[in-house]
Order: sequence, then structure tokens, then C-alpha cells
Amino acid sequence: MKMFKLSTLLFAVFLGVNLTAQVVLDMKLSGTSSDHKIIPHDANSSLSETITVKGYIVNHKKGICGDICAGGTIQLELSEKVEGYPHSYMYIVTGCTTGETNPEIISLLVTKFTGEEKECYYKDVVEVIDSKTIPYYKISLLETEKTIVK
Amino acid sequence: MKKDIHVPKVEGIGVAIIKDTEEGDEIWNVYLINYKEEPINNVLISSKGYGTLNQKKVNTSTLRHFFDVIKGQSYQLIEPISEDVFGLSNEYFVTFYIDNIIYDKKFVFVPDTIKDDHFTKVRIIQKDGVLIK
Repeated sequence: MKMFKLSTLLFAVFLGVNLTAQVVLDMKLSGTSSDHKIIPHDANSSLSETITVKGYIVNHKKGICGDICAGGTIQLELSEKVEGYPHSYMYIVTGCTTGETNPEIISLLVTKFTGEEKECYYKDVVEVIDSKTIPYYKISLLETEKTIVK
Repeated sequence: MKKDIHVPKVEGIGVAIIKDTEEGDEIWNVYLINYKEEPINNVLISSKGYGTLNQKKVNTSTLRHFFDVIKGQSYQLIEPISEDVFGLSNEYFVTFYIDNIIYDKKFVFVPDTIKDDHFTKVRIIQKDGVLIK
């Protein structure tokens, strides 16, 4: 009888742990890029086409390279005021790369993201940072290397 | 024995970088060209850039593209290429199968070779570009 009670208790704990784990997994999977969309510049956008910006990366969702090609996104806190760009943060689509986020001030050459880009890392993005209606810019694969330290 | 290993030679395959025009904008595209009469299967192309820029060593990420079949006497768009990597070596490692035999070849565009001076007529695409065969 004792063994039966112990077995039942163990089984209940096991079931509980698994159900919780499944719920956590499902919650984690749902908090991905589908929550936010990359806002492209439209034809009437008065923002500058190409800018060199300097700042710190305060949020970084890295892209994936390899058999899957998917870009990343960064939120850059601007360290200098930029003529033609009225916001404190810039939201940028990056190429794919591997490595730790660069903690230093970086200088990036950015261009407007239009949504018409052909490169695979601009077409699919792993996770989108909420830009709160601010249109995204983008950087090339080469510039993306500045966002990480190897 | 090492001398008994047969390494098939790749012939009739080329990689070309072409300056296309799309909706009035110029865009550089990379193409794989199959000059052979027969198709090539399970084509895997990995691309990367490396070299020195502003006295710093640079490596871009490696991208991979897979195509089931590229027909004979035809071409396949691999990817666009940005002008800011023209100062690097741009490498395209191509692997494919013909009749269950695997072939591979590396095509490298060395720095500053992708420019109009090096254009040649790329026959199958019927456009001018930089071609490695």
C-alpha cells in the first residue's frame, strides 16, 4: 500500500513537471517574431536614405547563418544626434552572424529598409524588436560584423 | 592508398557576378552556370567573404544555398552581392552530384576584381559580368 501511494505521488509529480515544462515551452515559442513586425519605410518617408550612426546596442536579436538564413534585429541607442533622424533609438535589420553582442559604441552605415530587399537575411528575420511604429533601417552583412565580438 | 582515390574534375560549371537592373536600380547578382548538357543535382553552394578592410581582418558570415536541380545549359541565381564586400575575397564553394558522383569546386573572386574592366560576355545568361569557370 505504501509503495502504491509513493508510486502515485511520484507519478503525479512527474506529470505536473512535464505539464509545466510544456506550458513554459509553448509560452517561449509564442514570444517570437510573430509578435512584432518590421516596419518598412514607405515611399513618402522623409527620413534620410543613408546615414552613418553611432551608438550602443541595447537590444539584440541575432540572426542565423547556415542551412537556414535569417537576419537579426538590433535596437541602437544613439550616442550622437543624427541630422534627418528625430528619434533616440534606431531599429536596424542585420545580417546573420555568430558571436557575442559588441558592448562598445559602434558606428554603422545604415540604409532604409523597404521590405523589397532580395537578400535572404532581410526576407526572414529570427525575432523582431518592437520599434513602436518607427521604421526600420538595415545594415549589410559586412556591417553586421561590427555588432558582435568574436 | 591515396593515389587510388579518384577526385572527379569539375568542368563546365561557372560562377558569374552580373550587374542587373531591377526596377531602375542596379543590383549585383551572383549566378551559377551549368554549361554541361546534363543537369546537376543536389547543388549546395556556400558563400563567404574574407580579407582585410581598413587594415582590419574581416570575415562575413557563411551563407548556404541549396538547389535540387540545375538543368543543362542553364543558370541559377544564387544571391545578391553587396558592393561593400568587393574589397574582400568572395568565395563560392560549389558541391553537386551527377549520377551519384559528388563533385566540388571553389570559386574565388579576389579583392577588387568585380568591376566593369573585368567584364566578359556570359553566354548562357546573355549578359556581361565577371566570370570564373
